[in-house]
Amino acid sequence: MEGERIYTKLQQIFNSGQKIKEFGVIFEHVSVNSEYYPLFFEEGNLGVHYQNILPLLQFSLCLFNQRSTLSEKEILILTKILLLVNPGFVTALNKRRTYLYNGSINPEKELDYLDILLARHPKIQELWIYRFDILEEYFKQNKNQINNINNKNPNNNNNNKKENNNVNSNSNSSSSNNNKEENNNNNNKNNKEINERLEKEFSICSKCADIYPRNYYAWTYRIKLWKHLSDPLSLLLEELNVTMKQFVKKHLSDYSALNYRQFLLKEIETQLKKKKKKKKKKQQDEILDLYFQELLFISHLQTNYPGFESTWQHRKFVLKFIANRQKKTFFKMDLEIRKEWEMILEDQVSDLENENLLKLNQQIRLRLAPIYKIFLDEFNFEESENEQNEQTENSEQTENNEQTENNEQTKNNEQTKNNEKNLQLLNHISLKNCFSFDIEMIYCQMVLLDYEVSNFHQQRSCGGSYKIWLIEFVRNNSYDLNLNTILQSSIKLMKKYDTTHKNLWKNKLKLIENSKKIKKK
Amino acid sequence: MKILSLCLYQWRGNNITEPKLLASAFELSSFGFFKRKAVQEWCVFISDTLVKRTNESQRQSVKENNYLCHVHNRFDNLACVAVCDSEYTPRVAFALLNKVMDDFNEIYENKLGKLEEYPFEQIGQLLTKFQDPNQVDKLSKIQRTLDETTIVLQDTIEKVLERGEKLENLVDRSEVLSMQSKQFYKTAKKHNSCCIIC
Repeated sequence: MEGERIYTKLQQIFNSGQKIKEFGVIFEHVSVNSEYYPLFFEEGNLGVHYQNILPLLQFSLCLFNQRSTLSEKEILILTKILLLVNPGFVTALNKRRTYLYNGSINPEKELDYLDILLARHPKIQELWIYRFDILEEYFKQNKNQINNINNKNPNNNNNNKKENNNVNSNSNSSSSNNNKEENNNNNNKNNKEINERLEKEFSICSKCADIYPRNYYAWTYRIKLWKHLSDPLSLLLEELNVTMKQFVKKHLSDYSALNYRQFLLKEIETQLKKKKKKKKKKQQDEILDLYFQELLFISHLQTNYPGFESTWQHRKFVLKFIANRQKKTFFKMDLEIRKEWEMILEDQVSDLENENLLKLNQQIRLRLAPIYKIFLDEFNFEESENEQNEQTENSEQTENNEQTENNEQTKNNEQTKNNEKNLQLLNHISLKNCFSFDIEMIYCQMVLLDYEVSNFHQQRSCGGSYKIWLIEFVRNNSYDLNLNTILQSSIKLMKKYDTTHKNLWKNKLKLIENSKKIKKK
Repeated sequence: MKILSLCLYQWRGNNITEPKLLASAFELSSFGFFKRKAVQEWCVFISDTLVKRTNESQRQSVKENNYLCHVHNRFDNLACVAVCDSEYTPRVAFALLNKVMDDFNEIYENKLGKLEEYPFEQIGQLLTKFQDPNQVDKLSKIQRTLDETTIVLQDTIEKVLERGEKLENLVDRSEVLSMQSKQFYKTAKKHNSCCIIC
């Protein structure tokens, strides 16, 4: 009868109302003298010995089969204990759901209970669905409470209005103002509660996405949460710029997080359109700004951590949007840039030794740094290095220590001045003004060069398919015939140079030529 | 993109048969309360075996489930192991290992084997500092042509072990793992789930 003993102990703990933070399986026996023998319970961490779990489960299942004879309270505790051990047991979940709609279960406490289950099993679909139902019930009950309180006040308002004619209007208006204030206070409280609750929900989603990457259910639940907010725009922006950026930096291979960013961008767009205060053009500019910032963010990630396919997929989404909005500037050919990098490629194609690759790298970086705002520190160093060399020569000539100290100080001052100048330059050249697909091609080239030079553990054709997609995309969306011929020449160049993706290029060229033939026919 | 553990050992020299753990630091807040102790013991166990199984002046990276363990066995009888997840840039991990050993040498140069204890608090600070590889990576990015070709990559920890050795036997014989972790390993193997950290 071990099962029964453990069951009764668990019942005790649940009934005592103590807060349980976590549940787990332990492998050491608890000492007989401890308060909760044979369970382990300290600081909210509840543990059951692994040899006790099967008898506990058998006993509770046996009880569950006799549930028609049990009272409501007993069934509630039974299902709680059952789900602790086996959270996938949908019959027990559904039983709890009926009690939730009955009113016998407090939604807030139930949400806390689900936290324990989700921490161990973050990818069980039924738990997430149940959680969403509980949340809806929680908000319903909240609204009803506030409506009940507010209903009392409007009745007073009506009475006051009737008495207005006879009594002093000031006192009446002040009392009606008080009622409004009360209503506002209640609404504010309501909003605060809603926001607090939603914050907790967001944190649970992040936690579960952390435990199990690409957790579809956690991310879809997170998306559903936004429906409960009435004025989400500022929160959306905060989520986009602060919380999700931190999360993505820590979980680069989690494409679901980047997909969620795409959802946020779209949602911000719809919310901005709802606010009809500003003109259409300004709205569109704002939205475009967001997408350009996104492009800068993702470029920063890609240059620092090449080798993650998810970032390239996200880049496709952002680029499609920008290209469709800025057709004129994006699909134009920047002949200067094109000539430059074709020359660079032709020169360096024959020598694929590391030194030349580095040189190629640096030239391309010089071109890209002010546009994509990457390699900021490197180029501050480069430009100030020349000045440093001049100053060290000067300091070597003087022998006085004090003078060298002064020179060092002037060095630092000039460095900071240089950095400021560079930053001003960077701010002046913005991505919007000079963004074209040529620049995008150079960028791809450079990042993939980096990746090949330091090709370490990730042996995937990362970003190679992005280059090919880009060429196809440009070809399909532009109406400039010259573009096609020049694109072909650049494909041939890259075929020569791009030894890792040779086969990919061969196949693509064939496809492009075949499609041409079909079009002619 | 995280580092789970960082362990520094003394190995080879002064008649040492087993690697001696000099300092260690752990970052296990993403695991539940009940798993933390077992994970910590496993990190130490893996670090121990890896240090024994890398040759002098050799670097290795061993893949185990979702985690990559980086080992650097240096010429001056020091060895360092970092257990990271598969996203963490390996170049930065090896830079971290170098830094730990360099910093240790600054304090305890030529005193290896003479003292009993080597308090080394900076190992914890380095672990938290390097959790974000981007901030730390600026200098090492410019020196891109590091001797990366000397790093060996292994697919599983079993390839590191000698012929005829089995991981189960090592687990049973190990003194580092408590009864709890050994039981956990056995039951996990039975249920066909990943034995180590998840």
